[in-house]
Amino acid sequence: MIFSYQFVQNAILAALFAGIISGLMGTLITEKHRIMMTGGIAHASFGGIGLGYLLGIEPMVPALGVAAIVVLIMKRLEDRFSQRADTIMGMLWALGMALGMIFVGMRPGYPPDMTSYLFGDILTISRRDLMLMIFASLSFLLIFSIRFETWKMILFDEEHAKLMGLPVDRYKTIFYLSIALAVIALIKVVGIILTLAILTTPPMTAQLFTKRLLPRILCATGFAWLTIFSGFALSFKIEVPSGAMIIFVSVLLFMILTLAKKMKKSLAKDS
Amino acid sequence: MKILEVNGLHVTRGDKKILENVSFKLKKGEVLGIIGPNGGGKSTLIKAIAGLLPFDAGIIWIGKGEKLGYVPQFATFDDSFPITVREVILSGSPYLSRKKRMEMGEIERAEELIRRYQLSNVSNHPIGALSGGQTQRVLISRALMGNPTILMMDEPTASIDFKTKDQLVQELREKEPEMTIMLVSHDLNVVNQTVDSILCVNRIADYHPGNRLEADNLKKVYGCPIEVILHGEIPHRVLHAHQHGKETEE
Repeated sequence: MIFSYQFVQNAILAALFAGIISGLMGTLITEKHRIMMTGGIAHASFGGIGLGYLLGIEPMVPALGVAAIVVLIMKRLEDRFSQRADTIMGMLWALGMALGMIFVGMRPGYPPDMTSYLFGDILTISRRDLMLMIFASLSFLLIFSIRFETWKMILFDEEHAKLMGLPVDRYKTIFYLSIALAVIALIKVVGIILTLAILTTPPMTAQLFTKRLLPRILCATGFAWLTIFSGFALSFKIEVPSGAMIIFVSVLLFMILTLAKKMKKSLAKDS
Repeated sequence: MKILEVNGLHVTRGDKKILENVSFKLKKGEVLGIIGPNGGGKSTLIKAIAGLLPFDAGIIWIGKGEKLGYVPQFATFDDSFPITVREVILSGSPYLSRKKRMEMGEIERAEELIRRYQLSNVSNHPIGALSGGQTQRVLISRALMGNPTILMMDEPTASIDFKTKDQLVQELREKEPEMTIMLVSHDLNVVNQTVDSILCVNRIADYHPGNRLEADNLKKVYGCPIEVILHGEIPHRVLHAHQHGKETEE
C-alpha cells in the first residue's frame, strides 16, 4: 500500500499544512499587497540555503535567518523611504540568489542538487521540514485567530488603528516575520521560484466567491488543499515534478473559475 | 471650560516649516472651522493633534477623559480590502472583541449610525463598492462609534454635495450638542454658516471668535486672495493656494 511509505505520509501531512499556510498567510499577503516582498524573501533565502550547504548545517536554518533579516530590513526601509523600498527589495532578491550560488560553488567536492529548493518536491519532505510546517501553521492560527478583529483593523487601515491606540508597529513586525516563516515553510513543497504562486493563486481564486476576510481565508485554504492534493496526485501519476504540477493545477483552476464567473455574469445580463 | 489647548506648535518636514508657533484653545461644545489655502498646514495640524504625526516643538494639551475622533480627508485604506460597511463602522468601537461589543451595546450603536447616515441599503456591501459621499459617511460613523468628545473632520464635505454638507454639520450639532468639533474646510460657505470660531492656518495660525470673517480682514492677516466662484449649485468663496505673505495674481 502506497500510504504505508513514510515519504508519502510526510507528503500528505505537508500538503495539509501547506494548505493552511497558503490560505491564511496567502490571503493576508495578497490583501496587504506584499507580493513583491514575499517573492523577494523567497529568493533572498536562497543565500541562506547556500550558506547552510557551505557550513554543513541544515540549510533551512540559515534560510530562515536570512528571510527574517531581509523582512526586517524591508520593514525599516518601508517606514523610512517608502518610495525606494521596492527597488531595494529587487536588489536583495538578486543578491540572495547570487550569494546562494557563490556559497554552493565554494563548497568543496561535488555540487549538490538544488532543484528541490528551487522548484520544490513534496516527496523529499523530511520529518524536520514537516515539523517546521506544523510549527508555522499552528503559530499562524494562534497569532491571527486570537485577535482577529485587531488584525483586521490594522491590515485594513493602519492610520485608524494608530488613532485607536493600537501598537501598529509591533503588529506589523509580527506580520512581516510571519511572511518570512510562511515562505521558508513552503519552500520544500513548491520551491523558491513557485512559492509566490502558491501564496497568491488560492486567495485570488477565493476572491471570486467572497468579499469578506474570514470567508476568503477559509475559501482560499479549501482551494489550496484542492490544488496541492490534486497536483501532488497528478504528478505522482504522470511522473512530473510535484511543485510545478501543483502550481499548474492551481492557476488552471483560477482561470477556469474566472471564466465561468464571467460567463455566468454575461448570461445573467442577457436574460 | 477649556477642553483642548495647542501652544507654540512647530512642525517641520525636512527643511520645510509646515506649522510655526501655532496656538489656540477650544471650549467644550465649540465648533471651530479651520480654513486656509491648500498646503497651508490644516491637515498637518489636526493630524498632529490626533497623534498621527510627530511635531518638533510645542504642547498639545487635551483634557483628562476627553476622547478624540478623526475623519480623514481621503480614505487612507485600500478600498479593495474584503471588509463590509458594517464591519468598518464597528471597527471604530473601543471594544475589539465581538462578545464585548455585544455586551456594551456597540452593535446597536452601529445600527443607529447606519440608519442616521442612510447606509442601511449598503451596510453589507464591501467598502470599495461605495461612492465618495457614502464612504465619507461611513468614516464619520466610524469616528462616532468611539463616542468622541472632540471630533476632528478633515475636509468632511469634500465628496458630498452642497445640501448634504450643510445638513451634515447641522445634524452633528443637534445630535451631539456636547461634542467639540474641529472642521477643516476649504469651503468658507460651510464654515461661515456652522461654526463658533475660525482658525486661519497658513504656516502660522490666527484664531477668530465668531463665524464672520470678512475677506479684507483675512487678506490683511495672510495676504490670501479671495474671490467668489461658481461651484455646484450656488456661488461660494474659496481661498487660493499662495505663498505666505505674497499675493497670488489671478
